[in-house]
Amino acid sequence: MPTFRPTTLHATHLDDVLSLDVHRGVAVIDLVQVSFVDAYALTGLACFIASAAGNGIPVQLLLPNDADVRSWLSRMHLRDVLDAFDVRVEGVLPRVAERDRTDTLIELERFNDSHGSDRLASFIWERLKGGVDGEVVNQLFEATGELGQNVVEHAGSPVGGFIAAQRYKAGAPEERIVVAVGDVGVGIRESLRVRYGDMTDAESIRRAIQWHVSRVPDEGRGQGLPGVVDGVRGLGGTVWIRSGAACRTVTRGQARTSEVSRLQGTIVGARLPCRPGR
Amino acid sequence: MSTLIAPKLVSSRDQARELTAGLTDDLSDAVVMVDCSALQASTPSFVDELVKAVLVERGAERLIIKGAPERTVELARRAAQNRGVAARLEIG
Repeated sequence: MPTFRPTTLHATHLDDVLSLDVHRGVAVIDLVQVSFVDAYALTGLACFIASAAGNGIPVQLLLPNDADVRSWLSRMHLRDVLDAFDVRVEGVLPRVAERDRTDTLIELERFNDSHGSDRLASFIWERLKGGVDGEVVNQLFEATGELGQNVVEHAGSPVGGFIAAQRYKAGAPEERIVVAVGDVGVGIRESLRVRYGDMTDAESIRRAIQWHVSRVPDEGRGQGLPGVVDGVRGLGGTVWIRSGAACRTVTRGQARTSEVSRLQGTIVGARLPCRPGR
Repeated sequence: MSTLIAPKLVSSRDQARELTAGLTDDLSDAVVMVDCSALQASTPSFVDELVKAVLVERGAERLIIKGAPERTVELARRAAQNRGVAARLEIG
């Protein structure tokens, strides 16, 4: 049976390009047929690379045939992650001239502590204010800050966290922004297990987006993730929370959990309309 | 009265701890004012940690949040409510 290879890579297709070649003992990322990668998928690729490398598994990246996508990956600073984790690259990742796109891109970045997380949340604010609805900028600031804080405080991720964001269709009615924060830590299930007992990955995600659920027994805790979900959903956006072998997708009208390939850690992403209600 | 100046953007709990680090441990007869006139955005975690540090851990008589954006005020009220100290929070 032929393997499905997506041409557009976003939250729901991430698994289709990731595999483990057990004969060679190599983790493979196959982007050959891909003609689009969003910020969530890019963050997911970084987490996959860091996770494999952390487990001593070499990573091989097959670059896209599409030159525009190769340039985009380069512009989003994927090379920093490839170099840091010694990824073997099949194909050439071009060097691109970095014209100013600070109002539309947050390149893939790694952070290790709350100062790094604070800085990235401020980046989001500074880069988007004025060009995007104020409520959306505020929500993105809060989301980035809270998700970054979760990585630093709860994830136990040996390489810290990754973040990337991009604004799409600037100026068009369907203009939107995607932001994602990921880590290769213990995952939500393990994080909550000590306080709430054993549960599945899907159950742990459902529980983590309820108010006042936290690994830390403190009455003011457990506001970060539910606040992100409520805020993004309230503005007509979508949130993806992927941890372990489950991914929960939440929109204003519905929420559903799907089984996914097990990835170490957690990736949370949000897609928001830049001008909700218009 | 002790006055703290909130910066333009605040997000982590560490930032709240840094902002309040200079306060004495016992504030039971004291009022703390946080001047938020420069503040543009805050996260729920920052605001919760601020309320915790001033009203819960140090037991201040009052915490005044002055000149804050509407969203920060909403977060401060929610944090104080969650921690059972709403009667000692004042919005200026």
